[in-house]
Amino acid sequence: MTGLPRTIAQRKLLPGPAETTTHRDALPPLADDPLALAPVCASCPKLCAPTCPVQGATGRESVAPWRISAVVRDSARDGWRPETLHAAASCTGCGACTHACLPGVRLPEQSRAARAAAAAEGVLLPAAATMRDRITTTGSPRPADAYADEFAAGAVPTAGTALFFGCTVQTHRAEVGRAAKALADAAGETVRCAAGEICCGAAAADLGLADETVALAESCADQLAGVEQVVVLSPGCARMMRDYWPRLGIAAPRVVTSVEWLDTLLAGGGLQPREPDGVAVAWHDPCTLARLLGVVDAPRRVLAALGLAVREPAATGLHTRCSGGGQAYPAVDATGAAAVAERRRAELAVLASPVVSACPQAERMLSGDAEPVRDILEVAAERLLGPRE
Amino acid sequence: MVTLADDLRGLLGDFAVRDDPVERRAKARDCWPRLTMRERAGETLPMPDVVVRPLTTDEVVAVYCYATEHRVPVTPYAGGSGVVGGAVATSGGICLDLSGLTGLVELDPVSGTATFRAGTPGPVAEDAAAAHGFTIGHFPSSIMCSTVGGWVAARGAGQLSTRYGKAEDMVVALEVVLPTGEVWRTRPAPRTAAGPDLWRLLAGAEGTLGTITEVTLRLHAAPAERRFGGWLFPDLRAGVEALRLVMRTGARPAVVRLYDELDTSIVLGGQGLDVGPGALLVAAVEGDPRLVAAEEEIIREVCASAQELGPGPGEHWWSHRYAVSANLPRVLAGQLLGPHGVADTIEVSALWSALPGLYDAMKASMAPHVAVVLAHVSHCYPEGASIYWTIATDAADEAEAMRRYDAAWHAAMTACLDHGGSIGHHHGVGVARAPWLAAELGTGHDVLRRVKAALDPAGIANPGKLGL
Repeated sequence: MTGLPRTIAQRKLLPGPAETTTHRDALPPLADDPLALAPVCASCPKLCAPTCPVQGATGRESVAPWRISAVVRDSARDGWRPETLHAAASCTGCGACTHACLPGVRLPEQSRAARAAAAAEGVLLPAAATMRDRITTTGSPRPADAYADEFAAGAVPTAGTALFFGCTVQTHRAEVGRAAKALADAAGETVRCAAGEICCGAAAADLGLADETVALAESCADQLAGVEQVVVLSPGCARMMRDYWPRLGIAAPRVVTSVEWLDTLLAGGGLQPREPDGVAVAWHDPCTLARLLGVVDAPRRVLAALGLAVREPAATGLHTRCSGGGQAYPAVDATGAAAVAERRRAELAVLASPVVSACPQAERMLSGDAEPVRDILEVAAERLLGPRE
Repeated sequence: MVTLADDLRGLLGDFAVRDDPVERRAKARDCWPRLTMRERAGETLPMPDVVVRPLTTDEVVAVYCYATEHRVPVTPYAGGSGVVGGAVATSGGICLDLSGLTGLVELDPVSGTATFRAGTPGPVAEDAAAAHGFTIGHFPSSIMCSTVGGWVAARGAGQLSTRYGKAEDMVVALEVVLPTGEVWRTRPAPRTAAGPDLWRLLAGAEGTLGTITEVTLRLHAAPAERRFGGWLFPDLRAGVEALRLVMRTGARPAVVRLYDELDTSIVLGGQGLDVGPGALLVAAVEGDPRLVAAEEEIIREVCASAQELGPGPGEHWWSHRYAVSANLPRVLAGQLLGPHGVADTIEVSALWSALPGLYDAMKASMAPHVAVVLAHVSHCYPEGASIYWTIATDAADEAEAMRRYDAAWHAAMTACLDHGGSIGHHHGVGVARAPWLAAELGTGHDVLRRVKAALDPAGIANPGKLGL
């Protein structure tokens, strides 16, 4: 009887997300002038307002997408100050607002470019100053002793497929890296580990360090020279390589996310699917993976091939909600990031199932004390290879 | 030295109070185009001294008690969706950010009512109702950022108001915090004869008599069916007469929007809907299929002399119904009519007998000041309707832009009062219409002053709005 759409999203009051990312049309990520990422906010009736996880969690109008855009506009004219930079950097880069914005403001890119513009004026985020010092002295964005030993130097790939671990896996989620290696071994894939102090540059870009971004990315690209395909364990790194490296004039191998890699292995017989056994998991779509890279169906196919039933939260797929961990937001406002994560954690808790994702950073943000959020690589290794020591 | 912010932190805690310039500046404007123009011109707008975000009615009470005792202005602000400056702290003081008062309190499925906290955003409220098979039926262009409390405080109207009514028609009960700190909860009842409907003082008061903290709304069954139609009339007058006849039958279509010839050509034509010269009527009927069929038949019969265009124009409008609201401000952002472009909307209302003359007079009054003056007639009632004007122009510089803008508004308000209209239908008064409100209300404005003096003896409740 009631065939009409019910929710606001179904009624298309909010424009639906594009099927695949539109962000690849963005201008260079570290443009000198953030306004080059125009149009800036046109002061519409704040179509972005209900989409922003940061505004929703903190209740602050100053970090609403429309307001950040205005801050960028004003700061381009008046110069940057620490407090305006803090506001402009209070964006997780989740991209939810960009799909609601009819004039087409791309706030994640604008926020990132704003950080670079401020840095060019000598106004740095506190975390950026620390990272700049570290890169200057060590060449690495993270402390050397933060990297898991097992991924240390000597594992640089020279051909074929490379597993690219990224900073978060190496410094906080080594078990995800181990699972990836185990799965590759089981699939008979000859892979090399792009590990050690290799950074794609995203960490520096998120903090507005333009020169450091280019240096890190070029160094990373050099170490991947000859590799045909790179399997990237963090969506943020994948996006950096796939979407931003070309705009920096840096050639990348074929970039594949870990989910897409698993999907291919399971479909092609490299890994044998498993029959369903009644186990259910809740799936959290990472914003970058789903909304910015357009990888939505693959993780569901993978989970099904692992014999798992998938429970979806209310905000899922292209409409997924942020974990608070993107675009260095935890370094900008740890309290705000925790509040964003808590809201998403509550949405997932309703499903009463173990939560699985495919973004090591999101997994860190969403993991509770009692129930860690696991990566799809860990789950795949456990389901297909059995429990590991 | 103890500051206002320190005092408020003592009352509400650190997290609820912010006095940094970035946050204060974010609250310095709502969606009033004149403020956007002033910012565009490089002006620093008046800001509140502190932003306070209570999470409970008790915390709102604490703020008002403090403010009255210390004579500090309090300006309620929730979504900041207003377009007349009603939520702007023109006198500084406290910005009372109501966005923390959010969520569904109670839904009565038997009676078809739902109680929301005042800061509940429109999409959240509508989705909560939809989850139980209801609709609020309130879909303003600002729905993404406007809130339930703001709808009532400014007497808003949604795009389907012809069927579901304006915000004040949807209210069953309110919870209000008065400037002196008392909490006033009105008794929910379908109708009552227990004295005057005092809660109506708060609907449209825009925070000048206190702050709405909870709203109980009447709900409607979610529509099972929706049908669209479109007709082309030779001119606006012929279309207005058709609207009048439809409404006099007792039909309550969800949408009847009649675009004047220019609006039909520029706006709808610009969206790719080219229907030829004339005044386009788009209609939508929704609800129980039996009523839908009857209303559709009535409209078709009344519009028989016009060119029937089928459902296409209505479906087109439905799919583009937020595009104008999003694109119009692009003029102010310098994206459509040059760097000093001007655009705004002005909605008025009138009885059917006065409406055609009012249309002619207002159009003639604004035309000398701006390049584009177009309108549509919508939000229809048995006895009259709203005229929704859109004005836009380019300008040589910011000074000329402001001159043209102010002149167009002055001309519009004056012509409206002179020709039997009401100066506002659903955008409220705020600062923008304040100069003309006394003329609109007559003795009523003095009544309002006396009520204000009684309820707000310290004069702290949103000073400067409604001409108070």
